Amino acid sequence: MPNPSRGPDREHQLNDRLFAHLRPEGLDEVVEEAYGRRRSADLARAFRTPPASPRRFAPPRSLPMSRRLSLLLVTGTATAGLAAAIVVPGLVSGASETGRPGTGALGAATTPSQSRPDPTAVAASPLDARSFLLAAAETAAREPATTGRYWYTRTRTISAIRAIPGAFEEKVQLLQKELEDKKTAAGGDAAAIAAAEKEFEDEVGRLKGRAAKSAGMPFSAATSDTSEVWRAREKGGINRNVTRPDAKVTFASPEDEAKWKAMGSPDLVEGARPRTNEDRMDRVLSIDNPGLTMRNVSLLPTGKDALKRRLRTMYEQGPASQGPNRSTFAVYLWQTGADLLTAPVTPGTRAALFRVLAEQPGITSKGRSADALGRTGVVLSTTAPGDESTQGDVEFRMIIDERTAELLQIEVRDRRPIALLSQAFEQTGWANRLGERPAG
Amino acid sequence: MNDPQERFTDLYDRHYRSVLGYALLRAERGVAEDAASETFLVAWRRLDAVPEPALPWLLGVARNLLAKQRDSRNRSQALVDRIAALTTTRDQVSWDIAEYVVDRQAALGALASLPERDLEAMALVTWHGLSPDEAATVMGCSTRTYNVRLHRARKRLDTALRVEPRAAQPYRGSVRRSLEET
Repeated sequence: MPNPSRGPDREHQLNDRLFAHLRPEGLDEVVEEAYGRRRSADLARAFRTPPASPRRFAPPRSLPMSRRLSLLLVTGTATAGLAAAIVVPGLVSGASETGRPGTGALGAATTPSQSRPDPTAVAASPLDARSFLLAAAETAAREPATTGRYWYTRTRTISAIRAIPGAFEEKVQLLQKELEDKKTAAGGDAAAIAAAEKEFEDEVGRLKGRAAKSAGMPFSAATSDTSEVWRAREKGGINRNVTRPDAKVTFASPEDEAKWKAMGSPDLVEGARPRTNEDRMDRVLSIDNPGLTMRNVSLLPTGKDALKRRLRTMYEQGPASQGPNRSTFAVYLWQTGADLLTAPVTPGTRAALFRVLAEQPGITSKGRSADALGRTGVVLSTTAPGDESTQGDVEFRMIIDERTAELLQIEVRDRRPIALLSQAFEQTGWANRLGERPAG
Repeated sequence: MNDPQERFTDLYDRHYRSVLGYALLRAERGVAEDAASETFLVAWRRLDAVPEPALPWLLGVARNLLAKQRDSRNRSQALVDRIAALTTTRDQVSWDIAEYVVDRQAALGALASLPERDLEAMALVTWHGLSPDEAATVMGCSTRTYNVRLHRARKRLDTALRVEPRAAQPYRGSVRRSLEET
């Protein structure tokens, strides 16, 4: 350790400071300007390609998932992850009202499968999707434009538990120990060590694949949380994100809970503490559209054709249309549509968006149903092929309030008895202060 | 940070400025920006390999990318030219307030006379705020080797500063506050 009182060392400190001082201030401006200019293209360029190596020891909450599903987990407000829990009242009531009370809540929830009836659809569809969306466009166009300093969203997120967290980690640790033993046994044999490492990675990969599909999950359950997000409209303003996970897990049925108990009631909720985050970054508003910000989202076109052209361009230039897990335009539109309907777009853009959706083939109405908060709306649905992380096709749903044309809830389902993800948008609107909720 | 895309976005938002700042001192603007973008593309492809703290790793990648494109000029001189191009009167005023024994131009002259490696060894510590361990990661050497380099760089800088002629000091005397004590 150099002695600070010595002459040469003091000289060094002086010279270090002098050297530091030579860094020109103008550099920061140049860098800031480049950051603003290149960010969205850099992010989009990266997202066009998959990250090459799988995450080795990723816990089940970051299991490989189809891109569009993983997108949902970070959409809008949610940094939901697969933790936290509750019953889905909408689905419960839906199930019982269709005369299937015994099936038990989530267990009766619908699947995209064609052969089964849809128990969540309470009433036969009074409207086809197209007429409903055109009517929604009229409603949206009549709403007054509003503004404020912070865009507020409160979202209730319910996620299916895909794997038992502890069990997964335990298995990985076991494999890791096996690997260490094999390495020790191999002595200095490089080939044997490489083979053992490869075997380990393959095994972990298989484990992850099984977990993503919920293979071997003996029961169905969900975790949930409520998040409140304030996004500053002004660049560099403070954003706040408060997430409150529910400590309680909800089971699809009493049978599911019994199976869980029979396993010794393994821990299913990770990190049940409320989390608060603040930053001054331009957080992604719509992950498929890295160029959209709080400041330009209100500048989107208000005409149907112009908006459709813009969405096409954003799709083609953005991450959604690239890479092995690319989405079709229909799925992109569903996802981006949900992002925009919960973002501060103008009434004109909202109306145009509904008109674009009305023209989209493959969107059907499933009648009226309640969302997770018990609010009733019309269910619109579209189905897309699944991938290696899903069980069969994937169904995407929106529940929209007939009266106000507000998006109440989105859902993603595959053949599992519980929706992979459902997000109910409890409240969105402008607030003037951090921590304050919009009036009304 | 559940999602790779979210993790990457966060990485980008936290470190892009530092990576570009580093690249800008080693290459022309267009090249530097491309190198910074390329660095993050590498980080995305190898997201699992990116350690925490990530900055030394990212700077190491940027350094390798920049090493591929050679500049026939004296690189230390090129760096000084870039610094000079970005220098504003604000820099000049704050320099004068600090009352160093040499003026800014003379100090830059001293910098230009140093080997590029010495400059880098010093910049990583004083401009990028890295620890010796982290700086060694960037330069791809052991911490011990790095410390030797830093020591040598400081000695050379010291010598160069003594040798540089002391040019006129227009603001000196009119500004009394010194940053010496801060």
